[in-house]
Amino acid sequence: MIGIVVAMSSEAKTLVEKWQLKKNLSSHKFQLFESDSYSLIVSGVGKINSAAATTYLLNRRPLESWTAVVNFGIAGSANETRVIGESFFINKITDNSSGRDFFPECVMGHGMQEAGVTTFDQPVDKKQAEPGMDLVDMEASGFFQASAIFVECHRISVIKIISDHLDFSGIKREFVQSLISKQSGAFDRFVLNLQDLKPENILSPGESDQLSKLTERLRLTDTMRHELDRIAKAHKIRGREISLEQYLAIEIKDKPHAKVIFEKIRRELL
Amino acid sequence: MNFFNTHFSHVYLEQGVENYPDTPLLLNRFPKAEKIAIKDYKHIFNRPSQDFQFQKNSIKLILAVKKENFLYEGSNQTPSFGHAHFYYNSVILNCVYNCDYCYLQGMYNSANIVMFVNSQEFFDAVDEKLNNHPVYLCISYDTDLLAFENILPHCSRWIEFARTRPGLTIEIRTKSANYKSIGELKPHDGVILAWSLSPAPIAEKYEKGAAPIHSRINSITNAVSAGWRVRLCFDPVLKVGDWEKTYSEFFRSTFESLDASKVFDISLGAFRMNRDYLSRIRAMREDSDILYYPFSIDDQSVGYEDAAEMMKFCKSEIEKYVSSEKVNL
Repeated sequence: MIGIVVAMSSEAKTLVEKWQLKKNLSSHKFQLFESDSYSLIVSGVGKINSAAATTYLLNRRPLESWTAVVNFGIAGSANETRVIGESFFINKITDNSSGRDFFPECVMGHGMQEAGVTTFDQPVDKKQAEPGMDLVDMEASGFFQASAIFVECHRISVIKIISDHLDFSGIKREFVQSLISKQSGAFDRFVLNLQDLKPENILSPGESDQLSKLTERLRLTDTMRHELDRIAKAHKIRGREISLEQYLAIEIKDKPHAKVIFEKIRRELL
Repeated sequence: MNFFNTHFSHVYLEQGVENYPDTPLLLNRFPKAEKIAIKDYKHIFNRPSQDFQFQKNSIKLILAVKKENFLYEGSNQTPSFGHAHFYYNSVILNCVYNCDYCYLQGMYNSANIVMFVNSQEFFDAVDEKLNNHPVYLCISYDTDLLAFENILPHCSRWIEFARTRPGLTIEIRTKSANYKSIGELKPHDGVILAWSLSPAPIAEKYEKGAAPIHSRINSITNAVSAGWRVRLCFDPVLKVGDWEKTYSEFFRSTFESLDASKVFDISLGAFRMNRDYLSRIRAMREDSDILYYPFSIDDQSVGYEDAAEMMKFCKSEIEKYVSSEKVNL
């Protein structure tokens, strides 16, 4: 699953239409749009909202090893040389109130410029910007901290589009939509790359099925199930086939008998 | 767009590194790199939830100032070659290569490279020990220093340092073929250049990024000819396929290429690893058969149950070409 966290519905509209996401009507606290591959949530403005929405999003479906999350949206720029409408891959997030820094991984190529972002608790104007400050937003630090609890660092990204140079009073919904729309192609390519991070399962569907059936038939405890999974994978990684059909044919009499069979399987796979 | 950024596409700069001359040297090596300021290298290097193998696709450079522990006592997993005062240091953390059997992937949270720019303090720590006793020091321990020599000439500096310290013996262990980067230096008996070697099919499959065996042998030949003390490290010996045949053929071909009498000594060891490191590595990767061998486990480490017999076999094979007193287990 690729999770997208945006602050405002105006940031969501283009992506919802582009990916044909359906509104999930069972989500009452946040607007949530979904497809098989994507979940997009509208968090509301601010880092607490972003953290809460990210947590909510990541707990609605079982986490998979390839689950990735992206915070996407507009940001102001204290740096006047930054061009309005350009998108940036964020390589450093500074939480202004705590002074803590967070670092999204920069392993994947993305075709964008990179910048750091400082997350403030309230809107800031030019006078409040400190020397050397670059992009400014209100969500990234909350999003990153919440995401890092659930997924690995390299599956957490922040992409920001410059909307203003901290003179944001005139920013209208239509303007935000047009900024997002112009950069949606680049964002789409970035997200497609994230989908390629899906790891291959070492066990074939047939082998996984055999293990599930054995777990059921032998009534394995959680510990024994993990042990079976671990040794089966190791067996396969060593280049050997997993063929346990003969054990499925055995009629299990009682618990001690199941343990004997489990031990036989264990020895075969080691 | 390339799927992965290039190695060293980003350089993280810890607060304070700007005060050391190695910093501009290193930054000049990577002029196009994104530079990112950090308060403490541990905030990025030690953080949890990193994927070591994923990071190996695009390794980043972290420049930092080491604050303490400029010298460590040698590990019991590594032979001391009879030296009473065995130490190692880590001027660089992590390696540019990616060997399947490497313990670093279980020891560190990150695959990124940390280079400490306050080199002088590492030298001072050795001098302090030398005031009391001789020192045997491995300087390429949690890294491959010679592989980095073109980026920062640590090996050259340590060789020159050893030349002026009679009580000091240093070992520089490598899987690189970068002898030429120190080839202009005058050999010195206080320096042992140690090459790790594996049979070519094993090196190709399990030592990703490391120099091909024939290139390492060329480097060894040049180093031996120049008069350097050269150690051959057949370590780790891996039980892969028909390992006995593979290794006996490998020892034969190695000593056909090299004049065994000119080799300083041999280090021999079967694969073993701290059990917690292996457990962490297995949780992270399912792509390497050698990591999933049903090893025997003791309190601290995992290894082959018949490691002693394996070593006996390898030792007897090596002793066909090299006198037994040169072979260290």
